[in-house]
Amino acid sequence: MQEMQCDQFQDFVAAWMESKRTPAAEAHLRSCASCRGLLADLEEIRAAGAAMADVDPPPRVWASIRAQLGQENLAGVRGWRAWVPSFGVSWPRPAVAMATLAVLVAGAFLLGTEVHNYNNMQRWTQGTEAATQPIRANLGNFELHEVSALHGPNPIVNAAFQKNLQIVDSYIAMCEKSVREEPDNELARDYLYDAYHQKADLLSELSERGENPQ
Amino acid sequence: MLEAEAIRRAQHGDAAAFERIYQLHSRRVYSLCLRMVSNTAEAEDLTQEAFLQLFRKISSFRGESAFSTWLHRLAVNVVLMKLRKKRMPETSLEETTEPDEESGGPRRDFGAPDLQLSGSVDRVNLQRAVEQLPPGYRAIFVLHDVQGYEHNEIADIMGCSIGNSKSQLHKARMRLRELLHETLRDQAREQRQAVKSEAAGEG
Repeated sequence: MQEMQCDQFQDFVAAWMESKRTPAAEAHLRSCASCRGLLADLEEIRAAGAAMADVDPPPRVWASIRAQLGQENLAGVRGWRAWVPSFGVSWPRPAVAMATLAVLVAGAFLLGTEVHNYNNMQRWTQGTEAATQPIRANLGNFELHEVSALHGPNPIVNAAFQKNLQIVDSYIAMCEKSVREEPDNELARDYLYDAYHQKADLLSELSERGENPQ
Repeated sequence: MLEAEAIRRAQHGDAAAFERIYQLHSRRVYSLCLRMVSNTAEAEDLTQEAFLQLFRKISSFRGESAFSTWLHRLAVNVVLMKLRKKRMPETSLEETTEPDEESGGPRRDFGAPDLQLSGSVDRVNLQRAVEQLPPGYRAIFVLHDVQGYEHNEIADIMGCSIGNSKSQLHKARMRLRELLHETLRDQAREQRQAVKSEAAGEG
């Protein structure tokens, strides 16, 4: 058996780490502390790499992707409406959504304007509340009208609507809480706007369904 | 919803299918980005960009390779493009004048370190060393040693041969060894200086 030298072992070490063995390499390793050190180091590096755990991205990454997909209309005709969580009933396209959305967009614009004009956190919070007041008032009136008119003959649909409304209201409450806690977080504002948007859409759907209850 | 079903539906613009695909793969893609750039904000941007590119191109996915391989190829390309644009400084080690095959820069001698790592490689040290690798080495090290891909999968992802993947991985580990030894030497030097300062203070 021909004796292996250090440089030959160093050429062989990658194969060794893939479990390849030769008598010459084994013999060299037994007699050479330096190459044993090299192998131990490389194995430690490999083990340390394997110990680096995968990490979940924060939720804002998906929120940004979703927003961009919406902007690019990549999610097809169903668009962002499809992201609304677990709505048990298929609601028809809204008849009055455009009018409501116009109010919301105007509100969101106000919200954004207010944000940039305030540096002080407290004043910013007050500004947010003031800026969203018209949105909330509109939604409140709309809800009052539509929910009171909800006397369709199908109790399953009525119950599903009520359930969905509760889900959206919880979502809004959660988003408002986030904005209060982190008034300078732009993403929290986006979520809040999205939550209002979802409620407006739900109410709009109800409005259309109310015209032809089933 | 199974992955195949999600892919099929996403190809028809189904929003829920996009979300499902993201749920299935975001952890791996984000981790890959994070290990490659070591910066959470950048990793988030890169993850976002990779998935957006995926969703823009998903209708062209024909299943010639595994979907995850396709996605990872896309993500690696996004990251490498970003790193090339940044032209990050790759290392502060002493360099020799022979050109290095991977980076195109001067080759570094691996040398014969006088210390052994034995137990000193923690996550922080390793991540710092990985940051200093040339992007190509870094990608292969992260894909193989951190994320557990096989060389044939890496060859698909990186668009190289299996032999090239093996060779680059070996060079990456050798460079990491050198960088980690450098860290050990620095730490030892700092400790000696601290002891000296303490002794001088007492004297």
